[in-house]
Amino acid sequence: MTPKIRIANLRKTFTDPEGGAEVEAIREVMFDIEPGRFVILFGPSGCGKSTLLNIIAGFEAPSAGEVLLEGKPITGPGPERGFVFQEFVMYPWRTVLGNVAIGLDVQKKLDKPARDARARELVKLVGLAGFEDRYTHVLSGGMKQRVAIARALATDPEILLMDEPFGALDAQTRRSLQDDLLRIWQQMSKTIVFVTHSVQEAVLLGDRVISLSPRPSTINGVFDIDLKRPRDTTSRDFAEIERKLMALLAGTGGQRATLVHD
Amino acid sequence: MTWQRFALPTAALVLLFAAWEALFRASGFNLELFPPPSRIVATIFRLLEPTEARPVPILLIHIGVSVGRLLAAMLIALVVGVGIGLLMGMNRYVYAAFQPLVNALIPIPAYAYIPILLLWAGRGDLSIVIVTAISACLPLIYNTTAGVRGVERGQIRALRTFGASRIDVMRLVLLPATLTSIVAGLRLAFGQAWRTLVGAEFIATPKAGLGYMIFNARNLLQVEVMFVGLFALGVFGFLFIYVLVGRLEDRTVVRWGMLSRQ
Repeated sequence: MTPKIRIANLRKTFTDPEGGAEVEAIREVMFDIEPGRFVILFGPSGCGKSTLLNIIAGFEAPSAGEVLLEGKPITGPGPERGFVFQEFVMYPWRTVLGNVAIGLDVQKKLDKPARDARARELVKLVGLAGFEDRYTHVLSGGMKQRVAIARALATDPEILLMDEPFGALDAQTRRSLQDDLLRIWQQMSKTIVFVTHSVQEAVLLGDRVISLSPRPSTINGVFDIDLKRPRDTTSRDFAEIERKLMALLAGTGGQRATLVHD
Repeated sequence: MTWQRFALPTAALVLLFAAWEALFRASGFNLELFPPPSRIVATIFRLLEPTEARPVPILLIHIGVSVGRLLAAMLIALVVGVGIGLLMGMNRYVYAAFQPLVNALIPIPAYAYIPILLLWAGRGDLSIVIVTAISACLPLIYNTTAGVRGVERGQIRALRTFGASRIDVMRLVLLPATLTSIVAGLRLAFGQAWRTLVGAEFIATPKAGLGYMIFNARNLLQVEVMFVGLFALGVFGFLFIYVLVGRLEDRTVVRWGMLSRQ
């Protein structure tokens, strides 16, 4: 089976705009992502995992190496890759329905009734039925992130890229969005690449956890998690995998590790 | 807080007029030359009366001509100013090239162009509208540029994941996201334009407009008419800046939560 995404010998350096000094963000990373899998990019804050996700999204270009989407190099953003940002990206001049439909408005493949119906379906999927006509500034953070997920899914991308999407949410809201995301993923069979620095989130969500070292990033561990879903965060097996990830963070100076049991 | 917003300013105005009335009447001044408000108000009514020769009252003609010129100039300024602002905001080279020029043009009072325009375009509507449009253009360029440069990167990136073109980005994100700045620019532009218009009408019109009315009244020693002109300028300036622009704000950026009314 060809991998959905292949990262080979990837390097990324930034040039400091002030001094012109080179900062090495990603040193040497390679891995494959199989279709339909839920893959976690895990690592301490500032380790370059978001940069890696931005490169897969096509927002940034790699300095060296290859990033292939079904065998073809990625040269920019594309409709087969949806993105959910950590900060709540909203279009406040549009209602909830309008936000969800904005990708459909770009692609113009559907006529107005079909577009509305599709957007309504997605709003319902993320649990926001009844809020279609609200403007987004009245929504809570969790609801905004639900809108962002619905918007990314509306155009039916094969891959969903998520950059610490629940990082700014309180524990309870976060848990409820995690559950809903898993439900949606199982229902729609998308490939998901999900960045987090939370140990618990990584073990709860991922089929596979790719652990990155602090800057300059290299892969310092890959875990395939075959715990049965829905996963019990209080089970011994769960705790065992959490402990391994924690050890990786601690061993690499990841002082910002999250060991909070939400 | 309604009384604070309406009753208090009204009371202040009434008090001011009463003091003015009393002071001028007690002063022993020639009231033709130093008219108290009562005489000015009487003059307003006189100028609002239709006559045989002039079925439309003269004051309404002057107001209509000035407002017409203002709106024409604002329309031109809106298209040109927002257009240039979008270009400057979207492209950093255009920005780097023209921002210093814009900064140099802002402090030039637009009246200063009138002598040139009189030579190039002669007395009349064309010169007046052009000079007024120039004055209104600059705050719109400045604010639109700043607005576009301040648009959240995520809003643009999210749209690009749907395969959006530059035109899509401009239409669906940059313009609406910049509306807060554009409307604020519109407020400044109306103020600049109204001021410039009066200056232009002092010298560049052969027959009508509030500026003309005031300037012409000097030749006839009609101080009351001059004051009527000032009152009209104040009232209509207020209507444009607070009522018209305020309404626009309420219906758009305030409704969307992009601007809060405090």
